[in-house]
Parts: sequence; C-alpha cells; structure tokens
Amino acid sequence: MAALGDRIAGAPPRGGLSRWLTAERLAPVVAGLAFLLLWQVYVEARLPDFVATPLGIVQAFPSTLAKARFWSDVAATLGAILEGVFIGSVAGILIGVVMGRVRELNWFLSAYIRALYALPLVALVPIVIIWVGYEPAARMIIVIISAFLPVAVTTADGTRAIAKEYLDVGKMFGARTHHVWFGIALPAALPYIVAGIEMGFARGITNAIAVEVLASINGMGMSVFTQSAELNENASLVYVVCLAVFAVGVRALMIRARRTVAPWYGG
Amino acid sequence: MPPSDDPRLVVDNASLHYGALDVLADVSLTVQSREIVSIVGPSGCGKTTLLRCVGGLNQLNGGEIRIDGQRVEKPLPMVSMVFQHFGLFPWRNMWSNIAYGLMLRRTPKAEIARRVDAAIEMVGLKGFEKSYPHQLSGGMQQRAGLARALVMEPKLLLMDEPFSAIDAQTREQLQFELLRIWDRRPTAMMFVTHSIDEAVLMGDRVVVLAGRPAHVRALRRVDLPRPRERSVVTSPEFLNLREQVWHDLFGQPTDGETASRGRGVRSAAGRK
Repeated sequence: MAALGDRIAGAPPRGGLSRWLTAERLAPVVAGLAFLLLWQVYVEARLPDFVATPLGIVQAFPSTLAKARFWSDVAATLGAILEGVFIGSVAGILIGVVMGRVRELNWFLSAYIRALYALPLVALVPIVIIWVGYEPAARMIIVIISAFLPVAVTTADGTRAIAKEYLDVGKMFGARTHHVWFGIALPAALPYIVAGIEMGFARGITNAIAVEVLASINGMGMSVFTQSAELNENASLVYVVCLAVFAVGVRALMIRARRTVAPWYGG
Repeated sequence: MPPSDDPRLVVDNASLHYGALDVLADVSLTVQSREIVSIVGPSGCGKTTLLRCVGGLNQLNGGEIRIDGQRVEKPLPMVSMVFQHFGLFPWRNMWSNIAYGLMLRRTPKAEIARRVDAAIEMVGLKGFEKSYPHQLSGGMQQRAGLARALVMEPKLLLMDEPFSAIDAQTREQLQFELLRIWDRRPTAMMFVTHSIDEAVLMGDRVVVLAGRPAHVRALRRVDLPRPRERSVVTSPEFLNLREQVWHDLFGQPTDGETASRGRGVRSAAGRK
C-alpha cells in the first residue's frame, strides 16, 4: 500500500513508518481502539463512576506506580515467579533427562508425573497451605511444581526422541553415559525444554496469582482483589495490565531463547 | 587364518539374525592395513549391518570380528565411522563437531586445535569453522563428517554409504577427494555402497554381498592403478570390472533368484 502511494505523482516521499504501517498491522490496533472506545462510552453513559474505564486506568497509572506497596507487590509476585520457575525448570530438566534416558525410571515415574501434569494445580493449594501455612512459601511451592511438571515432561519426551544416528556417533567416538545424557540428549532436547519452560511460566503466573488470592498472600494478585474490593477498579486493572505485559514479555523472551539455543530447529 | 600377513580386519564366519530373520550368514572377509575393501550389494541386504558389527554398534550371533587381533564387542578407539546421514550435531559448529572425538578422549587442547585445523584443511572446509550444520550443504556436511573421522587417525575407517545422500555431481567430486586424501595417508578402509561404480572406483577389492541372509557371493580384485584419476572410469578395465560385479549381483541365478529378474533391473542398478 505504501509502495503504491510512493508512485502517485506529486505525493511526498514516505518515511519508514508508513512503509511499516500496513493494513494488516493496522487492523488489530483499530479493533483494540474500537473496543476501548465502546467500553469508555458505555461505562460513562450507563454505569456508576467507580467502574473501570480505559481512561480511568491510564489516569490511575501514575498514582498506583507512585505507591511503595505497588513495587513491593511486583517484587514479591514476579520475584517468586522467576525464582520458582528457575528452580522448577532446573529440577524438571534433571529429572526429565533421567526419565528420558533410563527406561526403567520412566516406568516408575511417568504415570504420576503425567497425572499431576494433567491436574489443575490450584486443587493442591489447600494441601500446601496445611503444610506451610498462609505464607509466601505456599506460593513458591506451587510455582515450582507448576514449572517442574511441564519441563520434566517435555524434557523426557525430547531426550527420548533423539535421532538414533546421534547415539551411534556418540558410541562410535567413545561417549560414556554422562556424555550421552548431557552432551547429546540434553542439547538435542533444547527446543522441547524451552517449550516446557514457556509453559511453566504460563502456569506459574496463573497459579501464583491464584495462590495469593486463595491464601491471602501479599502480591500483585492479592492487590488486584483488595483494590477491586475497595472500589478502586482502575488501580486494580493497572495490576492486571502489568501482569499481562509481564506474561507477553516472558513469551517473547522464550521465543527468542529458542532461536538462540536451537537455531537449527526452524521458526 | 593367514599366519604371516596379518590383516587389520578379519571377519570370520559372521552370522546375525533378528529373531527368526537371518540377516548375515557365514560372512568372512579381510581388510589389509593399507587397503580399501568395497562392500556392494542391493539396498537392505545387510551390508550396513555388517559394517555396524565391525564398528561394534551391533553384535553378531555367530562367528567373530577381530581388528588387529582384538575381538570387537564394542566400538574400539582405533576405528572411526563416516555416517550415511552425516550425523553432525546441530548444536555444535563445524569445528567443534570435528573435535568431538578428541574432546571425549580429553586430548590436550593445543593438540586438538592442531589436528582439527589440519583435518579441516584436508577436506577443504577452511573458512567454515564457525558454521553450523544447518547452514552447510549436504556435501559440506559430509566433508565435516569425514574430517571428524580422520582427525581420530583411525587404523580402520568405516564408510557407511557416505555419499548416497549427496547430489550426483558433489558425490563424484567427493569420491575423488576421498581417494586423494587416502593416497596421502593410506589406511584400512571398509567402504559400503550400493553403487557398483563407486565400489569399483574406490576399492582394491570388491566384496559382493547378496542374498537373504546375506553372504559373500563374489570377491573381485580391482587392479586399477593408484592414484586413481578421473580417466579411470572410462578405461576398459574399469568397465569390464563393473560388468563382472554387475553379473555377480544380478546375472547368475542363485538361491532360486532368476536371471530374468536380474536383467530387468539392469539399468536401475547400473545408474544407482
């Protein structure tokens, strides 16, 4: 479209922005703006003024971000997610490699890990609270398990599905068991592992918020509810927007990570 | 057993079966220390299986394989293999793929660098050290596969249809480069192929493996001069040998196979 515009006689030369801004890229922006406008107009016209509006959320940003409480919430929740996913992923990778490479261990563990993987982990929150009490440790435990399960499953699948020729090469050139596990199986499974960690983050975020609400642990999820309960809907949604930005950012980072650690995997 | 002239590799009455399926039956052959022995046979006849047994990747059910007198029960360090589908690790760059075997042996770093660089030079991959396999053509990947095997300075080199996954022109180029490399440092080589031309071109002897289970149907000495130049493929000796091997494979009705079936696949077999 931009290229066509360039050719129109007398039209001023277009910059990089207009070339980048194609109809395809513009469409979601238009749809989003239309939705926000509809939201704004409808709430102003029909609903009480404590109900959140897009402009209200924007206005609530500076005051919310100015509070020390906001930043302690962010540090608590995102810190727990990052730490928990890290611990869960490392544990998942180690167990997953062993499960993938030692058939007998897979027989013992696979059924349980896969059953837990299929279970909504929120169901475990009451049990974890009984163990550790209404403490941040409950959130940490749930996040660790949330990341551990998908990473263990994908790592096990990835390390089991190695091309036979790689194993032959390893044997031929004198690879011992640990060389095969960590020098062949693990790198071959990297694309699977990154996918597992991405899933671990998605579940970790969801479950961290759920635990905060269910166990009244201070954090972003808790504040979403307290702010909302105090009729600060706009401030509540500031937290939601920040969580969404974090989730989208992590996903983008994971896609990049996969391209960096496994450039051969395509995509 | 030849008592005086000890061959590097002895395959002695090798037999192998998977369950009820007999794959190899009493296969015997030898490879001398500076000799290339081609193993030719139809696809799926068991020649790769035989090579894998020599490499220690598969186990025999009967008979035995000895390399320099040592019985093969697992891969031996003095043996290297070049794989049909290259078998390069996609997460290692070319240099580090070639260094793989030496790294596993904890060779000193300086020595690894020296030997890997020399091997890269030898196979003509200079300048591609940092490239990853997915960035290289099939021909270049197999050059790296060859360098990875050569850098180990093996006493026996096993070639598992190394050029069959490479386009025809590059294949021809690589065949002559391998011959040139071998001329500089002759070593014992077992070269498995399904191409009669390639078997005759590479080998000092050609073992024709055929039948079900596979057995040695014929053994041909190739008295073509070395170093082998490109012109050799048009010489009457070459064409004559090619014809003989073809007849070994398809010409004689043995084991209930008919001569007419052999003639029917002549053109296909000749071109493969």
